[in-house]
Amino acid sequence: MISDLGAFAQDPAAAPILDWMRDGRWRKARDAAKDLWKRDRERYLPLLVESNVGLVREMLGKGMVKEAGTVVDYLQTLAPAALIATLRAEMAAPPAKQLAGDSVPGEGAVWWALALRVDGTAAEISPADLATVDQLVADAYQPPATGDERATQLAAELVAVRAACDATGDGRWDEAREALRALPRQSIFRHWRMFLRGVRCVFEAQEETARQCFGELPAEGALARAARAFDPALLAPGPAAPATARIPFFLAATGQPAAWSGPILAASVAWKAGKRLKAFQEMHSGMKGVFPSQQADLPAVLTDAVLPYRLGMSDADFEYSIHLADHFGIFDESKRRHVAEVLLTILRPMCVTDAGEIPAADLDRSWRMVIDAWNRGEGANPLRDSMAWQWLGEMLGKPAKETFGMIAFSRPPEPDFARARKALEEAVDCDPANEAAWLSLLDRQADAKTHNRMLGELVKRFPSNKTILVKAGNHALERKTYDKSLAALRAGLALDPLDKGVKQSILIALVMQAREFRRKGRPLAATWAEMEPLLEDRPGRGFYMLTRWIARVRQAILEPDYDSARQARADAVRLAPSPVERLFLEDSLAAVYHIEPRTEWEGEWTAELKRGEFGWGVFSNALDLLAFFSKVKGWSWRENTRAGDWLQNVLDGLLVGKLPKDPDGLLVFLDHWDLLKKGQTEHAEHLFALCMNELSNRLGRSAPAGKRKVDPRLRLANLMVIIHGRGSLYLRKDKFLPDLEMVEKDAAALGMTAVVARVKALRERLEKTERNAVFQERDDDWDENGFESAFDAGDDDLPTEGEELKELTEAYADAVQNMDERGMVKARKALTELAVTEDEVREALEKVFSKLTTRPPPKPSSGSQKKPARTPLNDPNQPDLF
Amino acid sequence: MNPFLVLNLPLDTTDADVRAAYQSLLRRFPPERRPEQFQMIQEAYQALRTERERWNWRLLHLGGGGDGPLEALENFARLPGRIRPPGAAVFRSFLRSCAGAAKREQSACPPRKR
Repeated sequence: MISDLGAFAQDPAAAPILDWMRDGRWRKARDAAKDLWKRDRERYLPLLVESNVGLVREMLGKGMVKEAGTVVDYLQTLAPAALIATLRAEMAAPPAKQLAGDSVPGEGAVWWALALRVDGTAAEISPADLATVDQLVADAYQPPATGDERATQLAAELVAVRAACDATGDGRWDEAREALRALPRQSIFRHWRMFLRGVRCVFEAQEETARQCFGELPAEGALARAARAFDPALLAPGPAAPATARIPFFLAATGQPAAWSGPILAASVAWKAGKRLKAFQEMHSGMKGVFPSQQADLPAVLTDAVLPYRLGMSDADFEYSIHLADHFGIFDESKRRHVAEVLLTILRPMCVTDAGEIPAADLDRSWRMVIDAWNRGEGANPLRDSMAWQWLGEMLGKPAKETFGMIAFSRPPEPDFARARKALEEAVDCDPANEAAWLSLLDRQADAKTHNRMLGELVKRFPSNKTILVKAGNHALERKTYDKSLAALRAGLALDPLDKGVKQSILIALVMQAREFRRKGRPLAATWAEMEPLLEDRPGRGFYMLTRWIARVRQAILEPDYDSARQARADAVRLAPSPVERLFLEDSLAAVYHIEPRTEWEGEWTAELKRGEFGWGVFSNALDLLAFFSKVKGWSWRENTRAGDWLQNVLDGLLVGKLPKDPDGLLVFLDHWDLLKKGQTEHAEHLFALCMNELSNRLGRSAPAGKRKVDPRLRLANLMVIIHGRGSLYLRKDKFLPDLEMVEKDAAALGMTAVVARVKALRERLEKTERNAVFQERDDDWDENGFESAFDAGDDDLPTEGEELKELTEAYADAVQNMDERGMVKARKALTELAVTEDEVREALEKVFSKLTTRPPPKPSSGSQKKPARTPLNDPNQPDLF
Repeated sequence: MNPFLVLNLPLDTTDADVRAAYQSLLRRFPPERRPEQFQMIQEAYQALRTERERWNWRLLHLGGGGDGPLEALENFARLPGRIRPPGAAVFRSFLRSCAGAAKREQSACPPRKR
C-alpha cells in the first residue's frame, strides 16, 4: 500500500511529522504520528502507517532485523496484509540495494507530500526541500489523481520531467526537449531542465555549453553530484555521485558489460584501502579471461591503472611490482609457460622501466621471455621481433646506472657489447629493412675493418637514408678523405635541404679542405664559393659555424691572397655584431689554426678596450663564442688560457671604476645566466666560473643590498648573483626577502618600473618553490638577532657551500677509489649534515669521476694585460675539425 | 594515454584505418573548438601513423600507473567521442543514487527550526 500523504500538505499539525520523515527521523515522526492518530484515528492512520514503514526500512538498512520484526508485528494490526507481506519479504532479503543510497520504494509518497508544500524554484527553496524534489523525480512513485489543482499541476510536471529523463537516457533528444517545453518557468523542477540539457551536451561533446548549463545548478543538490561525475572540471569542487552509481553508469555509457561492475567496484575499494595487489586480484578473478589485457579496450586501461610501472617509480611501487611478479610466478623457472597476456602486461613494462638498472644477462633473459610470449600470443611478426631485438641490443649496449648506498659506490657495469651485437644481429636478420637496427649494429662494431665494410654496404643498401649518409660523410671526414666526405654529406643534404646539422658538417669539411689547400699552396677561392650558399646572417644558437661574419673572419685568417684576405676582413668588420667579439674570435681562431695573428691585432684590441663602447651583451656573446670554439678538436689549455685573458679584459672593462657599467645590460645578462652556463664546455666552464666569481665579489663589495645610495639595479644584480651562485652564506630567507623588498621600494621611488617588475617576478619564482634550493636549511644555526654573512663578518676565506660540497664529494670519490671505507663513511656523514640529497651527491660525484680521466685546464691569470707567449707549432696536421 | 584507445582502433589496425579514424575524429573535434581533444587526437595519430610506430608504442610504452580502477574507467569514458547515452533504466538508477546520496547528506544535518 502506498498511502496518499498529499492530504497532509496543508495540515499544520502534520507539518513537523512530514519534516521529520523527510529528514529520515522516522522514530520521532512515528511517535508524533501516534499522538495525532490517537486524537483522530481515521484521518491520521496513513501518516502513522507510513512513518512505521519508514522506521522498519531504516532498521533493515542498519541490519536491525529483529527490531524491525517487532514493529512489523505491531503494524500488522493497522496496515493492509499486502503491505505487511511486502515488508516481511524485504526482511527476508539482505538490504543490498541500500548500499548505493537508493531511495526505498514507498518513500515516494512522503516525497510527494513534501513536494506539495514546497513553493518556489530551485534557486529559492532550501537544500532540504531541493533534496526532496530531486528524490521525487528519481523515484518511481506515481502520484494519485486528486481534484486538487496544485497536485494535478505538480503531477503533470513530474511526468514531464521523468519523460525527459528517460528520453535523455536513451538519447532521444527531440523527445526530451519536447517534454521539457511543458515545464513552467516557476516550476520546482525547473533546474532539471538545465541539468538534462547539460547531459545532452556532454553526450554530444559540447563541453562549453555543458559547463554553462551545469554551472547554473544548485551546488548542493543531487544534480550537481551527477554533473560532477561527467567531468569534475565542469563544476566547482564538491561531492560527486557515489562510486556505486558511477561504475555501472560509465560501463553502460561506454558500452561495456554491466557484469564488470562488481569486480571494478571491489578493486576500487581495495585500491582506496591501499591493497593494490588485492585490487589486481579482484579484477583478475572477476573479469576472467579479459584482465589483464594488452588490447585497446577498457581492461587494458584498467591494467595500466593498477600496474605501478613508470619512470622514477617509488620504492613502494617497486615492491608492489615485485609482489605482483611473484604472485604470478613470473620468475619461477618451473612456471615458464605463463599466460602470454600476464607475461606481457607485467614483465614487458618491468623490463622497459628498469632496463637501465637490470644486469645485462637478466635483461637479456627476461626480454627473450617477452618476445617468446608475444610469439605465442599473436604469432610470428618479423617487424615486431626486429624492433624488440633492436631495443634489447641498444639497451645491452648502454652502461647500467650506478648504484649508490650510504657507504658503497659501485662503478657502472660495462655494457655487454657481445650480447648487444647478438641481439642487433637478430634484429637485422628478422627485418633486413630495419635501418635503425643496422645503424645501432654499426655503432657497436669494435673492429674497424668490419665497421668500414658495413658502412660501405649500408650506403649502397640505403641510398635514401640521411643518417647513414651523414655518418659516412663524417667518417670520411675523420679519415681526411674530404672529397668522399663532401659527396656523402651533400647527398644527405639533398634529402633534407633544411637540416642545419648537415650544413654544418659540410662547412667543417670545406674548412678542413681549405686548410689542406693552404698548406699545399692551392687557391682557396673555389672553396669559399662553395661555402657561401651555406652561410646565414643569424643561424641561431648552436649553429655558430654557419654564421656569415664568423666565416669572413675565418677567410681573412686562412686566405693567403692578401687582397682577398683584406676584403674578407672588411666584410667581417661590417657584419660582426661588435669589434670586441670580432677581435676575440680572430685571435682564438688564429690560435687554433696555429697562424700568427696580424701585427695590428693587439693595437686594435687595446684601442677597443680603451674606447669601452661595449656592454654586458658583448660579454655574454663572448662567453657564447668561447663555448663555441672551445669545442674544437685541438683546443687545449694553451688556447684556453689565452682566451681567458681576453675574456678577463672585457670583464675588467665592464667593471672599471667603482661600480659596474651598464646596469640594465647586467640584469639582462643575469637573466640568461642559466642558458649561458648550460652552453659552456668543460674547458670554458672554468673561465665562466672565474669571471662570475669576479663579478660576484665586485658586486658584493660595491653594491650590497643594504647600501641604499647605490643604484637599485646593481643591488638587485648582487642579489641575483647570490641566487645563481648558491655559494654564499648570505642566503637566509628572513634577511634576503626584506633586502629584496628594500630594493623594490627604492626602485619604485626612482620610477624604475622595469626593475620593480623584475623584483616581483623574482620573488614569485622564489615563493613558488616550497623548499627553495636558494635558501639553505641552516636558518636554525643563526641566532635570532641576526644574520651574519661571510661579507659582514669580514671573513672572505670561509668556503662557500658549493666549494664545501665539491671538497666533500672529491674526498668521497677519493675514498671510494682507494677503498677507504672509513673515509667514505666520514665524507658521506658530512654530506648528510649539509642536507645534500642523494641526487645532488650523485650529480656531483659524476662530475668528479668524469674529471678524473681528463686533465682540467689551468685557470688563466686574472687581470693580466700581458699577452701570453705563443708556443711554436708542434704538429701542423693536428686533426681539429674547425 | 593509449593512442589506440584515443582513436578507438584495434591493435592490428592498418595505416588506412588510422588515417580514417583520425579524420573522422577531427571532424567531430576541430582544433578551433576543441583544442584539448584535438591535441590528444593529433598525438595519438602521430604515435600510430605507421606499423613501425604502432609496434614501437606497443613494445615500449609504460603503464599509466597509480590512478586506480574507478578513475581509469572515468578517464576511459572521457576519451573523445567515447561516452554515449546509457539507456533510460541505467540513467534513472544513476540519478536515484545521486538523489539518495544528496538526501543522506541532508539527513545528516540538524533538522530545521520552525
